[in-house]
Amino acid sequence: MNELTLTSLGIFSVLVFQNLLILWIASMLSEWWVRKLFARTQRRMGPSYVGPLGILQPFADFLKLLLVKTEPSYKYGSVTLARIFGCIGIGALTTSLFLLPISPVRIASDFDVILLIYLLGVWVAVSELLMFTSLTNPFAIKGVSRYSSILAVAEPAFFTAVIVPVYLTSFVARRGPVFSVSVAVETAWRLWLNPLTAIPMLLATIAALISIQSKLMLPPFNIPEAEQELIAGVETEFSGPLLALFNFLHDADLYVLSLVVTFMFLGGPHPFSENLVLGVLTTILKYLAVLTTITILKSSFGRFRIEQGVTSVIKYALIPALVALILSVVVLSFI
Amino acid sequence: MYYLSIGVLVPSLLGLAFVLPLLGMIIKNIRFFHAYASITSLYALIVAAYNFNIVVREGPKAYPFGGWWPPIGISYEIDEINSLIALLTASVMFLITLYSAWYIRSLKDAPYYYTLLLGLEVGMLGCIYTGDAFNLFVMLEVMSISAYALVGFHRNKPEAIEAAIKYGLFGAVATTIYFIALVFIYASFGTLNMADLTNKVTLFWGHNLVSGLYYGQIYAATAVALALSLWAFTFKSAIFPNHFWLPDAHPEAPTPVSAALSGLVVNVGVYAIFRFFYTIFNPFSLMSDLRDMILLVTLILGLASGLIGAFMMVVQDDIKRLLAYSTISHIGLVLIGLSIGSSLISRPDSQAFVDGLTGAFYHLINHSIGKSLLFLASGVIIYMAGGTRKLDELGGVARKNPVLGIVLITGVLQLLGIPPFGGFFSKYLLYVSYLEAGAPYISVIINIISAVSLLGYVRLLYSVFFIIPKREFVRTSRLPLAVLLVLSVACLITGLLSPIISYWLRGFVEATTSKDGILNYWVQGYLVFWGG
Amino acid sequence: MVTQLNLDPWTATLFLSGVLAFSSLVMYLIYVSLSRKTTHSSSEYSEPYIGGEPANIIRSIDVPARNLFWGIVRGTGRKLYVFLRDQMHNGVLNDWSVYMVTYVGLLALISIIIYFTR
Repeated sequence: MNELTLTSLGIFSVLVFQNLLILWIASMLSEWWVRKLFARTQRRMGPSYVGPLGILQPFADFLKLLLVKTEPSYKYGSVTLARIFGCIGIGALTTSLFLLPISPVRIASDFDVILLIYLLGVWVAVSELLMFTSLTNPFAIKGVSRYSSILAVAEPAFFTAVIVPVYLTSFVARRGPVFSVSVAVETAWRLWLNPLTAIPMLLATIAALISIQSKLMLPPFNIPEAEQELIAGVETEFSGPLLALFNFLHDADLYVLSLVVTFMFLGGPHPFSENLVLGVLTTILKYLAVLTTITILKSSFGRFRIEQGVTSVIKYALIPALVALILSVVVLSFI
Repeated sequence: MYYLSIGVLVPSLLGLAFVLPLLGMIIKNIRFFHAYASITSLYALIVAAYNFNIVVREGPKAYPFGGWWPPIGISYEIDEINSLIALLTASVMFLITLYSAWYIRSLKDAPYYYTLLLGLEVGMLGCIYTGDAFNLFVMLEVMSISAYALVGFHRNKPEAIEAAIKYGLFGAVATTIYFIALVFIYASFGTLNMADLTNKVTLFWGHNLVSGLYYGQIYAATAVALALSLWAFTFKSAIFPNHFWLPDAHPEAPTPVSAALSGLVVNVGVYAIFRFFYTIFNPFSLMSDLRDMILLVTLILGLASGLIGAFMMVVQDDIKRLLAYSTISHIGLVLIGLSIGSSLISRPDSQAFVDGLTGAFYHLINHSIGKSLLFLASGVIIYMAGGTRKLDELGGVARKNPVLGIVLITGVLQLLGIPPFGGFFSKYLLYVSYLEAGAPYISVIINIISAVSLLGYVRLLYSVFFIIPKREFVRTSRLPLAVLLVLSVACLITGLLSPIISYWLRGFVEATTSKDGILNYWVQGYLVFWGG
Repeated sequence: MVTQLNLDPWTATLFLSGVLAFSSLVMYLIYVSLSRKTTHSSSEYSEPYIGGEPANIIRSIDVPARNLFWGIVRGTGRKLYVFLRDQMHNGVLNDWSVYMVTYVGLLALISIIIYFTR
């Protein structure tokens, strides 16, 4: 028993390293995709020097910031606190990978969707907020104010949207664990086949995408409000290794949230879940489709003022998600 | 055979409390009173733990006062839930009393302060232990009068007097309304003993030699009585729309008292709602449709006060007022969990029913610990900042004292409900129960409440912890920090031991709310005395 | 290819919290060991960045806590807060009692309705 525990703990510590590595590589690649695509929509080249098509550019940027630049010292802030909270945020993202099928050993339990939301939404959001607040600067605090105002509506919207497929699948799949991410991942595609469940799924997917957009502070939700254009909101004071940490946290957040949409809404490897190669390819394609949608949203809207931002999250994410949830309750009462 | 410890705690504590002003005339050394109050509340803690142990070993037990058997005399009855809440109350009160020794170190009125504080504890323990609906009224009054006086304790501050008067006026109305409810109950059932009432409402054994059966229109009378008593209980637990007194009264009270009021006194109202709508008017009773409607009302009120508390937290400039609104929000959450038992939402034997009630009591415990932690911490913060309560003037106090900073973040994470702190597991159970009951939109509203209250906590943390201090602050002593550390370890323990705690709580809830449990409440509280 | 461990919710949460602590620690150690140890010590870098202006052009570098959420309080939720703060929680006893008495009335109404419709 004791040896078994030790062995499994050893396995898990290896898995933590592996998930961290996956998180890093995948988030850097996602950043490349978003940057390239976003540049092209603005008739720019985007990253193009390091590696083929500039695919290694984010890696180079990250390593340069981390290894070459020096950490600043602040009169009015604590770099240590910022570091600690940034690392906790990345830790939370690494941990939430254990609930998704991207990890070789996956953890499932009844109602683990709530755990996923608390890891992915609340822990990450709180640690990001505390990280931003650690380096006091009027612009950074304005950014924090904006970020937390958006979060207050984006978190419930994301929660509601994620609950929809889980709620539907836990009744459709008729097997345990109930209200679990793992069951939703495996059976979410079946919901798109029935028009009764496809409507709530569509609404929930839209809501999830918009809430991700706003949770990540991507345009149109990104600029701090002011008479003059403010510098960059929350990341004003970040430079050197801290900026690398922040960029990694942000990209990793984008990666994991898009992964949630890919698996829990779009069904992951389905319809090729038996074939390993085709399954992986399908998953990647779906993931890129999600990223592309987010990038298109990012490039096609002007920036909102804060109250417009909050209102539009309520209008286009929270309310559709609630409608989807009520529709799915109604639909299930018929089935 | 009955245990003396069940009955002796409240009267002896009352005696120990009210001898204090007399001692104050003789003894002038203030240290004596600190020691006296701490030892007295330690005594209460030990007896409460002993009583809890009795229940865990042997199940519900009753104590008839003066040898008068239940429907005639007053009896105290403990079961799993109320002995647990009493244990929680006694332990948090013990820490609050210890902290008071630091807080009132220079106050002349120490004997009176401790009299009132112990009086508050007596009232709470009496309300929790009592097995008699009229004694509940008496103990509510004991508790409330101590609370009114404590709110106005800083009597040179006009705000404190105003808050105490407001609290007192409406509190008197609330207890009177509960009294009127008792009139209806007594007129139609002929008894005020809770065990006897349970029997008459559920008809385990219809014939009753002592108090007869029914008198008059029991259905109409019960409807009125339940409505009125719900009003009084929601007043005591500060549920919307009866919450207006709380944000005035809690900040104006001395800080340890704020912790007791916010962390413990509001629990009494919640416990009374539980006792009335799960034991006396239980799901198996003859008039369960009344109870179903009432619990639907409490669900709506719980949602409303959760939302209003969270939204009002965002705009508070006063640290204690912010915490007071957070109390409203959290008691709303507890009430949401407690409302699961309406048969319009879930069946009494279902998983959702047990999960919701377990979540409610778990959240009650977590909130008591987390909120008293934050209030006591706010006392230290206010002291260090030189007496101001304005968030903008606190200017990063906790930066100067790392222990205070850690404690503060622990308390906030506990109340926000972040894994692995206890608050997560109780919120988790609340989410789960409504998902299981087929009402996911209520889970969504719980999430909205959490997300909005995040803003309030960010505001608190920002001004207390993240602003870089630009002026000198007063240094504080070790005693309050030690109390705070104990409470923050308790926050972590409620999370890390959650498999055990939730297993136990689930067992307690099942034992108290199942049909057998309710039958046993009556048997132990009534029948054993009559040779049953 | 994917092993799934089915745990009960409590164990899963506590286990994942442990994983969270461990992976944060790992990330922190990686970060600390990789990032450059030297820090800028010149005063130019330790001042907050305010658009290139010196820090003393603003009154305070902290934003007052009451202004933190004006986007919600005075933006999106303005009507809500006018109602909640200025009309409902205005501290006037008479206005409170309107809500409280309405609540008693509502409860009485409900009990009457139940009585006549059962």
